[in-house]
Order: sequence, then C-alpha cells, then structure tokens
Amino acid sequence: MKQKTGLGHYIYIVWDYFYSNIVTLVKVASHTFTKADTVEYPEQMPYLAPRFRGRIVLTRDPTGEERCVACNLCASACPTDCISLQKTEDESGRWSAEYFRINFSRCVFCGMCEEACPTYAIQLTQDFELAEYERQNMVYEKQHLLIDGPGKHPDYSFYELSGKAVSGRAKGAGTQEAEPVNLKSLLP
Amino acid sequence: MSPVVNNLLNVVLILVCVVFGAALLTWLERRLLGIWQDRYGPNRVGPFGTLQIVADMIKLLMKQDWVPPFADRLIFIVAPAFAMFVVVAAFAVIPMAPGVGVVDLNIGLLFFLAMTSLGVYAVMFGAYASDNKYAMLGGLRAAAQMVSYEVFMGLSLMGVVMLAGTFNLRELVLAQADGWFIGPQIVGFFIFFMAGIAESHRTPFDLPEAEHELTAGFHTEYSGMKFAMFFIGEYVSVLMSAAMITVLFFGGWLGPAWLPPLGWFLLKTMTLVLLMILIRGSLPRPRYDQLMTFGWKFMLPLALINLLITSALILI
Amino acid sequence: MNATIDNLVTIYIDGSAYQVKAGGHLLEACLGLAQDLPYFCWHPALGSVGSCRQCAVQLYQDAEDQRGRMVMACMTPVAEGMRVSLSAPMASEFRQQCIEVTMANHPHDCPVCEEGGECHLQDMTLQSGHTQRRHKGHKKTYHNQDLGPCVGHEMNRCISCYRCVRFYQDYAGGDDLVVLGSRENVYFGRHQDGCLTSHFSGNLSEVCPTGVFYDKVVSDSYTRKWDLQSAPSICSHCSLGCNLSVGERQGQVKRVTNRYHSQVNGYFICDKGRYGFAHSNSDQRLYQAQVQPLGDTEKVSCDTLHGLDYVAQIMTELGAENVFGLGSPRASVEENFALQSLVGKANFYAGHNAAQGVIQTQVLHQLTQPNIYTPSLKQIEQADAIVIIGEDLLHTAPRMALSVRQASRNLGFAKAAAIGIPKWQDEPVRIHTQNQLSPVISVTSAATDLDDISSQCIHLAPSDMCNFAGALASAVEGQFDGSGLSAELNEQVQHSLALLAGAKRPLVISGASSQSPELIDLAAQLALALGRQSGSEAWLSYALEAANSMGLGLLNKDAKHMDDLALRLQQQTTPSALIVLQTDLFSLSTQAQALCENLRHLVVLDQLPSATSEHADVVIACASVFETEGTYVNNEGRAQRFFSVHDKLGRPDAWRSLTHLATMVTQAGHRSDTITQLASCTKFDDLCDLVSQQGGEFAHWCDVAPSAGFRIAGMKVPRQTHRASGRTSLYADENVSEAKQPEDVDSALGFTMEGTPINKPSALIPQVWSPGWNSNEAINKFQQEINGPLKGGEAGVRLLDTSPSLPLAEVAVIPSITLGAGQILAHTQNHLFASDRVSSLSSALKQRNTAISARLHPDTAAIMGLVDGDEVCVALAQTQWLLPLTVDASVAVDLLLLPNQYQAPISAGHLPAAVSLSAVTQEVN
Repeated sequence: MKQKTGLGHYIYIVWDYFYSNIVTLVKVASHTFTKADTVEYPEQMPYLAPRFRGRIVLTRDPTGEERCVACNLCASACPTDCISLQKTEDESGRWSAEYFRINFSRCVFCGMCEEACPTYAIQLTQDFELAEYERQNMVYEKQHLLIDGPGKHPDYSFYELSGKAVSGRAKGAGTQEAEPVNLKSLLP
Repeated sequence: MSPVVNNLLNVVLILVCVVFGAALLTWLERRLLGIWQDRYGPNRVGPFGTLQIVADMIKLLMKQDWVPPFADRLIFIVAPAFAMFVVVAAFAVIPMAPGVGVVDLNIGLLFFLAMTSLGVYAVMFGAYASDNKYAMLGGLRAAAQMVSYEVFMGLSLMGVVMLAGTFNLRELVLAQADGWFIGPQIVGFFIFFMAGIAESHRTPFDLPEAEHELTAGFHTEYSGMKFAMFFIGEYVSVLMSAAMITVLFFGGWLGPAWLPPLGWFLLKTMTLVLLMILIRGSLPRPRYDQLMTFGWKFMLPLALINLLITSALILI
Repeated sequence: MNATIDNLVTIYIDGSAYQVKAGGHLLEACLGLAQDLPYFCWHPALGSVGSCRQCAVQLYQDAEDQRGRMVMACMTPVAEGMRVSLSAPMASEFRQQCIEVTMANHPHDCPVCEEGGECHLQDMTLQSGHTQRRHKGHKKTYHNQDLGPCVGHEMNRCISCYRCVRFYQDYAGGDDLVVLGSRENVYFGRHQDGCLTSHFSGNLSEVCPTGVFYDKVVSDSYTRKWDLQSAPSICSHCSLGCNLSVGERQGQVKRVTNRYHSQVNGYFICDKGRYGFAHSNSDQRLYQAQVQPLGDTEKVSCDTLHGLDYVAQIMTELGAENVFGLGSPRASVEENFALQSLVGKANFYAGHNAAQGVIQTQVLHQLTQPNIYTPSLKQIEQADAIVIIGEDLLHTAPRMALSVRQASRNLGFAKAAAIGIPKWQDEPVRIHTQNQLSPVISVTSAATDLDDISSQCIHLAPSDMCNFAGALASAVEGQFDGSGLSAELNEQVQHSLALLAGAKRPLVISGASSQSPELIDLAAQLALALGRQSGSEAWLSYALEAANSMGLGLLNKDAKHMDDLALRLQQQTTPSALIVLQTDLFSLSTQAQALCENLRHLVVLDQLPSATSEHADVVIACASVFETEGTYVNNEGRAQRFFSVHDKLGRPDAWRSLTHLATMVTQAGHRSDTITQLASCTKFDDLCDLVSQQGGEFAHWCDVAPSAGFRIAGMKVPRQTHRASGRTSLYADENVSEAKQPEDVDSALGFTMEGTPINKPSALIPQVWSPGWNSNEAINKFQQEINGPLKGGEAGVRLLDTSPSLPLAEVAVIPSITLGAGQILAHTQNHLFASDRVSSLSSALKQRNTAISARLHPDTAAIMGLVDGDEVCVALAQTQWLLPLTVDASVAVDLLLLPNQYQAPISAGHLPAAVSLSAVTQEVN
C-alpha cells in the first residue's frame, strides 16, 4: 500500500487523534450519570454465578465416607503448589488422606484441582470471605476442609466404579462389574 | 494586623491549604474515577469518604520507615523531600486573590518555570538512590520526558507574556480584565495544559512510573511517608498546574462580583483539576517513543508557530 | 543399498533411512532410535514373545509397495533395506483397537493405584490414542492374594502380558508365582496366599506394566513418582554396587527403585536393596552428638560442633600419635580417607577382623594380576562355565546370583544361534534348548538357591573346599594325580573337569564370606588355570564383605585391621583415643571388649546406636547413605558416586565432621601435612581432589562423577521432577512463609525442580522420565541402544584395570583353628534379610527373615546325639547362644552352620571358630 504523505494527511491524522480523544473524554464524563455496577458489599451481597470459584471443600460420597482417595492429582494440577496431602489406607483398603492441607494464602481459586479430581472430592464453593488477621490461619487442614455432604454430583461414589474391594463392597459388587473369576471352574 | 503577621498568616494558611488540598485531591480523584468507571470509590470513611485521607495518612505514617540496604541512604531520603519542596515553592508566586499569595515577584513566571524544572532532580535522585533497575528506567524516562516538555512549556507561555508585557503574575491577571488570554492564546493554553500534565507525570504521561512495565518506576523502592511525599507532591503539582493555568489563561480571580475573588480563583482551578482527572480516567498511556515524538515533532513546532503568529499579530 | 558395514543395516522408518545394529528386532531398533512405539510383553531383559500385539507396524515389500502388511515389531528381525511405517493408518488403528480391547476390562482405579503416574499402561494408552471406553459390558474382577510384606496384588488391573511370570520364573528362577486358569480367566499369582519367596520379587512392581504387582512398602507411605525428590544412589548392602534411584518426600526416604547401569545391575535389583532403606527413617537414628566427660556416668546431648570440639580437645591433649582411627568397609572412600588423613596413615586401621584383612589384601593382589580380569555383572552373564566356590551368592551378592542364572542359559543361546534363532526370541530359544544349561559348578557348605541351575553341587566344609579348588586347579593344568583327596572328592574333581572341558569363557566366583584367605588364593589359581585352558584372560570375581570393602582395601593397602589395633593398644603405654567410623566393634571381633578397656577415649561417628556407641564417651551423629555424598568401590573395582537425596535434617556428613575436626585440631596447633590438607577442605569436591592426589588407583577420582560446578544450560540437575507439587503447602502447617530451598554446595544436583530432565550425565540421573514415558520404561530414551550404555556414558570408573599388580601385604598369619575335645567347627550361614544392622530395621524385610536355627548334617547330628528341632546351646569362649537346631542333609559333614544375625551373641566376625555344641535339657517344673 502506498504510504500517504503531505500536509493534508498530517492534519487529518492530528485531527483524528484529537477527535477520538475528545470523544473518549466526553463518553467517560457521561458516566457521571450512570448507575454504579458494583454493589455495596457487605451490606448487599453481590450475585455469585453458579460456577463461582471460592473456598475449596472436600466432600463425602452418598454413604458419608470421604470421597478423597489421596491420589494427588489436585496437588499436581495446582499452579501455585498450594495443596499437599499424604495417602493412608484403612484396613478395608480404602485410600484416604492422612493429612490434606491447602494454603489459601497462595490459592488463586483457579479450580484446576476440581477439574483434576477423579472422585469429585475437591470442590470450589461460593464462599469467598476468607480474610484473616493472621496469615497462618489461611492454612486449612483436612478437618477444616471436609464437609458433611456430597456437594455437586450428589450420587457419585468412586469405589462403586473402581473395582477395588473396600469395606462393604466385595469384588464384583460394584457397578458394571462381573462376578470374580472362578479359577477352579472347568467350564469354557 | 501588622504586615509581618499578615504575611506569616498568608504563608502558613496557603501552605496548609495547598498540602491538605492536594491530600483531599487524592480522595477526590479516586471518587471521581470510581464514578466514571461505574463504581463507588472510597465512600466509607467519614461523610462521602472524605476522611479517607485521614485513614491513608495514618496508614502511611504507621508503615515501617524502610530504606533498602542497597540504597544510597542520604539521597534516598532527600529525594522525596525535594520533590515536595520544589512544587510547594513554586506555589509561592501564585496570586490567588488580591492580598492572597505568598510573594509577588517581578519575575514570578520565570520563578515558576525554574521551580518546576527542578522537579526532575527529585525524580532522578529517587531513581538513582534506589539502585533498582525499574527505578533506573523510570528515572531515565522522567528526565528525558521532563526536559523535552520543559522546552515548549516555557515557549507556550511567551505568548501570554508578550500580550501582557510582564512576567509579574499579578499584573498578568490584571491584564486580562478586558478578556481572558484563553481567547487569543487558545493554542498556548492547550500546549501548556499538556506540558503541565506531563510535568506532574500523570496519565497519559505517566511513563516514569508506568506500573504495568516498571512496577512503580522511580519510586519502586519507596514506602510509607517517603512514598507519600512523592504522591502528595504529584497532587500539589496538579493543583499548581491548574492554578497557573487559571492565572495565565482564565483571568485568575477576576469574575463577576457574585463570588469573592478567591472563590472565582478556586472555582476555575477546581474545574481544571476535574478536567485533568477526567483525562486520567479516559486516556491510555502512549508508548514511550510516541510520547517523545508527540513532544518534539508536534508540540514544539506548534508552540513556535503560536509564538510566531502572536508576535506577528502584536507587531501588526 | 549399502552392504552391511560394521554389523549395521539400513532400515527405512516412515521414509527416513536409519542405520541399526544387525541381529536385533524392529521394536528394539525403533526404540533405540527414540521412536515411540507401544509395547507390553517385550522387556529389554526378557526378550520378545509377541503376545500383546501392541507393537504392530506396517512392513513394505519394497519402495513401490503402498499396501504393505502388518507385522509385530518385536518379532521381526531387522534386515537390510527393510521398509516399515509406524504411522501407517492400518498399524496405528490396529494398535489403538488392541489397547481398547485390553482396556475394556481394566478397572477405573488409577487414583487408588500405586502405579498411577508412572504406569506403562497409561503411557501406552495415551500413545496409541485410545481415549474412550466404548464397550458397555461388565468388567472382569478377580480376588487378590496376600503376597507378603513387600509386594501387593490387585489382579483386576492385569492385562495378561505375562511379563511377571517370565521375569519371576524364567529370569529369576522363582517357582511360586505362576499363571493359573485358562482362556480369558488367566490368573497370575501363587497357588495359595503367602509371601513370594524369590529374593527378586520386588522387581515385579517395575516389570509389571500396570499395577497388578505393586510395591507394598512404598504404598504404606505412598508418594507419587512426580512428587519424589530423587537422587542417584548406590546400594550399601553388598559389595556389588547396584545403582539405585532413591526417592524422598518430607524428610522421609519413601522408596528405592532400580537405576539402570548397563554394566552393573541392568534393570533389576534384589529385595534387600529395594526394601532395605527403612534405617534412614528409623526413630532409632542418632540426631545429636553425645558427650560423656571423664568421670561422668551419663552422656549429655549437644550439637555436633560442641561434640567435635570435645574430640579436638582430646586429640590435642593426647597428642596426634596417640589417636587412632578405625575405618569401615561400609563407609565411603571419602569418609575413610578423611579419617585416615586425620589420624595419619600409621594410626589408621580397617574395621574388619584379621581374616577379612588377609582376604582384602589377597583380593587386591589377585585382581590386579596381569592375566586376571574381574568381569562386571553384565559380563558375568556372558560366561559359559562358572565355578562358584565357598559363596552362597544369593545371600551375599544376590544380584550376582541373578547374573549367574542368566549365564547358565548361554549354552541354550549358543545352540539356538546355531540354527539361526536369535537370543531375543525368548520362547523358541527355550523350546529348542529344553532346559540345557551351561555348566555351573557350585561348591558351598550347604544347599544354595543356585543349586537348581547347577550342573554339579558339592557341599563341603571349608577345608575340603580348599582341597577341591586346589585339586581342580591342578587337574585343569593336567597335573593332578588324585593324591591326598578322598575318592568321593576325586570323583567330583573329575566330573568338574569334564564339565569345564569345552569352556571358552570360564569364570570363577569366590568371596569373603568363606572367611578363608586360602580359598581366595585358590580361586585365583583355578581361574588362571581355566584361563590358560580356554586360551583367554582368566575371569575371576569375588563377592566381598561390604559395599566399600574394595575402597577401604585400596586406602589401606598394608591391610591393618582391628586385631592389629587391639595388639598395638595392648603395647601402648600412653593413654590413647580411638575414632570409630560407622563400625560396631563388638560384632567384628571377640577382642572388642579388651580393646575398649585399653582406651581412654572412644569416639564413634555413626548414624545408628550400636554396642560400640554404648561404650563410647563421644558419639557424633552422622548422615546416612541417603543424606550424604560419597563413593563406593564395588567388587570389580568400579568407583561409583552416590548423592544425598534430601537435606541432612541436622545430621552432618561424616566427612564434613572429620574436616571440621581437622580444622579445629589445626587451630589448636597440630600441623601435620595431611591434617592441614584435610582442614582446607570445605566442600566435597575439595575432598575428592585430595583423594585423587593420592595417585595410583585414585588418580582418576574426579572422573567418577561430575563435580559440583557442573551445569546444564547454567542450571544444576534437578532432584525434583518438573511437576513436583505442594511447594507452598508442604510445611505450611509449621510456617505459612515458605523457607528457601536448601542449597547443595557439594554436588551438581539441586534441591529444586529447576533444570532439564534430560541429557544428564549418567552418574547424575535422579530418576528417568521422558515426555510420554512416565514409567521406568523411559530408560529406553536414555540408552544409546536398547540394553546398551546410557547416553551419558558408563557411570563410574573401574580403578583396577590400569592398576599395576599390587603386592600381598605382610600380614600376620591367621592361626588355624584347632578343634578341642567335643568341639565342632562353626561357620556362618548368611541370610540376605538378616545379616546386618541396617536392613534389620526394615519391618518388611524382618518379616521375610526365616526363623533362625543352627544347621547340622544328619550324620554329624546323630554322632552328637541331637535331633531336628532340639534346642541347642552353642558356646564360643564365654559366649553362649541358645537356638533351635535344624538337621539338613545338604550341610557338609562335621560343620555347624550358625545364622548370621544382627545382634546375635556369636556374629559372623567371630567365625569360623571351634565351638562346643550341646543340647539344652528341658527343665521340667
């Protein structure tokens, strides 16, 4: 494209710049008379979208057992590395977290942990009021994170589908599981 | 009242008013920006949030008075004080109303220009003493920007000086009794207004502290009251630019008698301050090279042409 | 087409020409060329069986052929001009479909699977492109078995690749893990619940491509692979120096896995190496220095510097010439060297007894003889005839037993090769050879694990072993007339001679556990004789007492040992002090008590309390092998460096304590050259420089591993993986502000995730990972070729290859044992999971330790009037040991075998000895 030169063009550019700036000024100034989009929190609670990502909780499955199986995927997905946990196992073979710690002073509420969680255990809630006077109090342990209900996906139970034998659910008793193979059978 | 007491009262009152006015301006600006951005701004402390400055002051005063171990300690401390000093000193020559004003110098305008030019030292001192690469870049930008904009700032005023035939600011005001200089010197006003914003390095000319690129530019390492002095200094210089424009282009305290002269002066000044805040709330920051291009290739020629035409008209 | 040059052929993969080694198969070639091709049933050490159908590729007739046909890469030998395509739609769709069928029954339990995150099945599924299970039917389930404390079992996950049984039975010679059932119901397990008996069972967790067999010890305190902070390490449990990758999290060593070294351990390690790490996490660990000032009865805890200060005062007070040092074959060369420099060469003694001292100098002498070569474990696998004399390899050098087992197949490989079956064709080779094995002659005092592959097993008392070895050596030379041997033994010699007759690459293995220097010498004679017979270099390998026996021997060439020290202290008139490095005197020699009484001060540097540290007046806590850096010299003279896995937790390196001590002593006015030099060491590299200045075998010490200044693209080699998690949360319960990561000035490894995960020198590979390859199978991306050396070269330096022949040190002759009336010769019976202090702290290994008992031949027992199951009392001098008796027909006649147990009243160091044996009469109340 041929570059335009000459005084006329120069004046045009100057005018264009000034014109656009002045329009901006006028438009901004016109906002003096518009209503504020923000609300006066805390007197008035703002609207929180259903997928709002706030304080993280650990949920329980429909039978009331902890959903978290301490697989560590949330921790590895976490971009700020603010989740740490240690696996432990009870006599029935159920995995759970010995400790589960979230350092909320580092958490950015990105929800990657929730996305990574294969058991729907870790979920982000609507609560964002996490202020503390002591930074140390921002470190949440498992007892602070665990809630009594299932949260989202209320019917999901990981061990129902895992094929692993845990208390009350023997091999083959889960959903879509066949009876355990009988080695002594001679049938074809 | 003896003249000495009168003068002292004048000095102290003006100093206090200027500093507190600038402090109040921080609240005003945040409120206005809030309104223009469809939010509320600080509205919690005191009526309409006016006591926000008290809260801020307490916060800034309570902060640790920290000098980084790698900083040049003496210069680091002197720089913010110097920044405050030059702008307050420049205020001394501004005539606010008959009998209100610190000093009435024959070369008031030149004194004003001299003082604002010194402002660059504060920034450079602060930047140098911080021993921080962001501060260094901010300081370099500030120096180049202020030196560049100084040139046509002075030139833009020469039209007014030629029309009035004096450097004395009171006489300049009185010379506008028949008509404000904004009329004949509309271009001069425009140039001086831009340069004034640039001199107080406010958006869109806030490249020295451009927080998106340079964290906080020359005052990256500053905190507490030392930061506050840079901060308040900026608002004093906003006030000062507005007051100077009022004096030079809008007839100072002159106006119909239904307001006292000081009232007219304040009204005009505050309107200009509002305009400056509106500009901050609206215009984006240019790139650094665009800023320099704008200064040297547009503003300077414009100032010279303005001067040429003014002098030609006077001669005719 | 070029003719084959240097045994290379040109093949075309997806249109690009590559030169690969002839004789291999296509899968091996592709992987060696860093191509990604999925596989399950193939394993580099186990060969191909072509059952999983995963490595399907499209093979084309010629350049014009567009259609091609599908072949399994692992079953297809490479040939000149071969054209294949990995990305051909037909092959890649086939691979995807195969995986889909495999995955149809695979459970949805990755989150609760120990293999998750380092699972070969996960990797291969992703690689093949299968993402969604379309099959809606039910999944097969299986009952699991309890396979003991080390290996867990979750049969649901099985994909029937047969790798487990192929490793367990075919490679490691185990017989209790089998495949049961038929058709689609195959089951990999035991006939009934119970501990897997193979000492290599831990490898199943690495061999299994998914999580059927998992590491139970790791599962107890589980950490995903990506969260482990790892470092390259060397196994400290025996003299073979297997390479380990040790993983740590939150100050606890979490697991040990195999680290590939083409010449040493290859892909497998024994269970002791894998599970014997618990000592580092033990609550018995010494944390602080303890000082007991003269006259006090209690030890007072203090920090290490104060403890060292106290030792420095002792050294200044007594004078340097009165301070002695006792090094340890379990401590690194650097630690021993630091102690030697501190006390001076004249005052430095090795921490083993007289017999081991003589064995040490013998071993060095024999292995540096010009005609003798000591093979690496990989080279042992190439031997075609092996004579093992006096060493129960499975319990003293287990990985070597595994190598011997592979070597025994060489006859089969040769036979198969003769009709054109390559070695990697696992099943055809086995079918063709029908269990014909290369000759392995095993001469031991009782039955061993290798008896099943031995062509000839002879169970003899130590003295008869010497006679046999001597006779066989002269028989091979053709100078044996049968005189002086019993007819039975004579027959055995003739049988052996016949077995060894055609050997082209014979190997003799002996070792230190016989406690017989004579046997060491005779083994060398036999090796030389066999070497002459076969017309090649004599191959000779010794299993030594401990991880750094060889290193200590090289530092202490005059073979001064603990019994020498006891003698010297007896003659000493001035008060003296002894600094003991990681040794328990009481398990070494019966003279320990007397030795301690002749000392004014006993200083112990150790990580765990022992009988010696109880007696000591100063105890300096020091770092375990996982917390410090150092070098072990293995039985073939290969110096290999290990590195700290985590920061010391306040326990300083032993070498650093000793250099501190040198500094303190120097400041107090002592200025011998060696002390001043030692005092100038502030970093590990300084110490390595000092060691290399010793010259001789140590001249290339700095080449053992890159120094601390080594950087890749300006960065250290990271110990953590690039996706390590929890940095801002791990210790947030203690303090929400994260502490700075510790710095490591002593090695080129960093305690961070910053750095590149690839292109590392071989000695600095903390764990293997490559994009898309999260399991240990990623090793193929690190090898120059499959089963070949690592891309960074062979780690470690073989010190003895260039060494001139070392003379035999003049050492006191060990008095021969005379049997008194009613006495019997007692010898040590080693047990892999029981023999030392360090592994005795692993609860998993403890459970696998068999019940202890003394063992006796039935004839001997009958003469002594004892029967199986009797409680017997073994008396050696004042010491008595009550234990049950097992009558075992495999034990040599007139020999009592006593178990080598940590903290037993009679330890291996006290044996062989004449003991009296009597039945304990049951007291009837």
